Amino acid sequence: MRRPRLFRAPDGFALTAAFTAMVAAAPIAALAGIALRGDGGLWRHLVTSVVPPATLETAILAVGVTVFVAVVGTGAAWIVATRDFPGRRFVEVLLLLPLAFPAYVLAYSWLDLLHPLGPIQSGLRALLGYARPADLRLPELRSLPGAVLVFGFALYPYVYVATRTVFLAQTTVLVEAARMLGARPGRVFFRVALPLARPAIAAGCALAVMETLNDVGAAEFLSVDTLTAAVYSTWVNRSDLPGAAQIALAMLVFVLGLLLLERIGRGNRGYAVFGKASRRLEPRRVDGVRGLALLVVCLTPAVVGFVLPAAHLMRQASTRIAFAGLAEEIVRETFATILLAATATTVGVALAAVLVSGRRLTPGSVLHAGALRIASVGYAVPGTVLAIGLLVVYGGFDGFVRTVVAGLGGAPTGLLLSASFAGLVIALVARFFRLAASKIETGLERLSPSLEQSARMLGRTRFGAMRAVHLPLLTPSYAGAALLVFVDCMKELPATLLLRPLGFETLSTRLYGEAARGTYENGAIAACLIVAFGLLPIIVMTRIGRRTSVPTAPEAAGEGDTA
Amino acid sequence: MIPPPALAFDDVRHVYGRTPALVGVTAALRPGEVVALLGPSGCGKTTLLRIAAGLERPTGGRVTAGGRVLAGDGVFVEPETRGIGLMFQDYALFPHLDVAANIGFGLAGRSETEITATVGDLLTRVGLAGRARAYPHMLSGGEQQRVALARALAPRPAVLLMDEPFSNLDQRLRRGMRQETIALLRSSGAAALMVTHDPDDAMAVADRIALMRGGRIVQVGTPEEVWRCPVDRWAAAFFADLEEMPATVRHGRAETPLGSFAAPGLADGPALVCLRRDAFDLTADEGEFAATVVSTRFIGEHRTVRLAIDGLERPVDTHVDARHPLETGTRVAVAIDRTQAFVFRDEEADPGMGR
Repeated sequence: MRRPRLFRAPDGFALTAAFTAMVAAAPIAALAGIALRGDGGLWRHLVTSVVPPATLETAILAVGVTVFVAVVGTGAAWIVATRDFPGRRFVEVLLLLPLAFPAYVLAYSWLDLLHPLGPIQSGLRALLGYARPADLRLPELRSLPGAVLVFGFALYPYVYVATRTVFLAQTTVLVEAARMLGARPGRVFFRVALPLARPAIAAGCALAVMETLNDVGAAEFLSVDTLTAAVYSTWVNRSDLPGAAQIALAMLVFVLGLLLLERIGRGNRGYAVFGKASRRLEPRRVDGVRGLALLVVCLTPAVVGFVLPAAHLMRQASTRIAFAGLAEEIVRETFATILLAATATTVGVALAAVLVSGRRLTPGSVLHAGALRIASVGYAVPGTVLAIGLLVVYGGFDGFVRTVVAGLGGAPTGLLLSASFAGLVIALVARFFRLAASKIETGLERLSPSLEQSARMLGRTRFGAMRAVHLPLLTPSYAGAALLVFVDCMKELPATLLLRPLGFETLSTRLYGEAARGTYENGAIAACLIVAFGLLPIIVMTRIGRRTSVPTAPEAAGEGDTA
Repeated sequence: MIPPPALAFDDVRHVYGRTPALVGVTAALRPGEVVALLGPSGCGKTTLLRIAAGLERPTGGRVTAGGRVLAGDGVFVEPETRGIGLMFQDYALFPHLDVAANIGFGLAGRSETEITATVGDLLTRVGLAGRARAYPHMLSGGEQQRVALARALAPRPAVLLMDEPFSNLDQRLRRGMRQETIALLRSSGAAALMVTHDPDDAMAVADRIALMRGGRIVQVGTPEEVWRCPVDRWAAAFFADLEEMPATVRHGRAETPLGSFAAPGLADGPALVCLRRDAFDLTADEGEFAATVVSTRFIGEHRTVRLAIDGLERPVDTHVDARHPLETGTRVAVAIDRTQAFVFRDEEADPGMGR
């Protein structure tokens, strides 16, 4: 018998995989390099004055957001999955919608909503009969607790989505088993459902914390000094790339620590739920006042996280358009954003498709599996960190090319990747590759490997097998991946802000600029557009969910025969 | 005085959307009795089980246990307060709890010493005394089945429901587990209702078998009764393969090319005579019919034989003792055991024959 080969003659799959992984790993490597080289005095300054307060604020924010999203997300998912109250179907979908709000847009909207001259304070004053804004003092939103709330309401859907899936399908039989053993609802939740949902809660919280660390806009609007903000201002205000890189590295350690914690938390218990997950739990009917109370409880996060800010943004945007018309810049910026997002999506999904298929068609290959892993690293890295790393890489690349061309007697080449469209595309691809890859992987896992194996046995090469089997069968997965990446590229702020060419504005950078200048109403149109695009994948998601969750006749409802 | 049934269904009906799953089921379990609910996929047996458990609300009818109404008459008792045990088809062991915690789960509220004693006793009885601290994913299929059974019996339910308890086990393990399960059931004194699609399971375990088809119970009886006196052709065919031949009934006897069979109470006209495989006897001293062996195959305990009986259009399948030598083309004499024959009215479109 031949031993499986670790390395094969390089082909298209291997070369693409290796190249993608290299590009993805470059910014991290560059960060490590530059942080090691930074001069000692600077290090001391950072360690003593910038990093500790920023780290503390970031840690408090991260812990606060984690607790908030875990409680709100899990609670809402459990109520919606196990209780049938008036309006449940509606709330079930509504609870997803804050996903369309990037944290910086939500922060932006709520700052405007709660402005002393904004609708809520004016309304309250009118209600209470106060004349001057100074008479009514609400707790300041621009604070750490305020930031926890804003991030929490923007990010709880990550936990809601993850745990809802668990509660709806995977734990059904176990919940039934617990009830058959006499367990009351409280015991069912705390002893069975909650422990089983722990991995999902942890995964959702991890995503929420990643998003919190990734954010650059909301923290700044809310005057919270996070590490991300520190990285950003170190580079933008002080043009200190090594300094920014060092803080970025500190963040990376922070993120790694989080991922490690999550791993350890799992321990060695089994969480794989046995059996098939076809039937939905039969929710318990709750009518009357108690049903209404459940409705209000479940509506609150959706109203705060979506309904109120969305309504406010739409009103502001329409006022603005009625007053000044649709500004030419907004149209231009919308197209620029779409062009950028579409380019990054095309490149990202194509690369992900090749890497995922390559790994599958080359079982046991360390190169392919490793390349896919490394290429995915950008998703775990906050956008600011990635951008700083890429700035270093691009600078080095441009300098290298300039030297080589000059050495050959050519004209100075100027900036090739730094502050270029191409450089921005590379950043977005590196950042969101993981999204596309995991979506395609999920689709591929549903295909039996015997399909492509039979294509190979019938004389196709690996590329031929991918084209004949994966391409046609995975079209829905590619489309799903493309939608996710496209929308995330449109919303992306930190990397775009740091790497964009001079004068290049996307919807997100426009919003950031307007908010930084304090001209809120101008940003409302951009915010509206970002949220509108953000709704697209949610609509697709709920439509798919509806198609599969409708039970079909008695078979789905419980005839478990395996004749 | 007759004690009230451990579990009783009274005209229980159920509809999924617009698809009827149960159309009026009436049945009862006596205390301590083991009843098998036997039927093909989609016959409604699992629905009936889930209604008994309280995991499904019946559309109509009444469910009682020991005289107490569980569902119907405007009453619905939640599953956790019914005091009925359920053993799930896929066992539904809690993956995050070890074996002892799984078995003790239903004993919440009792004293620590009592829980420890009960769990320890059950673990010993199912032969898993050394595995108390193991997690479900570390157990074999047979061990998981034992834990599921022990867990369901731990709170000492008066009724235990079992959903295809042996379907996830391989043939060899299955035989042993049937014995163990029935022994444990007897010692616990619980009445049991077992859903299965496998006639062998039902025959091996049940005191009585309730045969279900199309959302209703078509026959109830001891294993021997349902085997010997099937209520119709479908019921006969459900337990074992049949050879069927068309017949004509005249004056209470069904006439076929293989002679006449008693058909008491059947109206004159077309009928079907059904013969079990072992109704054909090739070893009898006096054969009634001459036949040719079309093909034969040795399959261990038996030798299957396909016979072309003279005067019969289609060949019939039967089997003989494996030691009986037979070659293709051999001429043999066949005797027919007429007690192994059933005569039914010939219904062209029998809805239940989709097996």
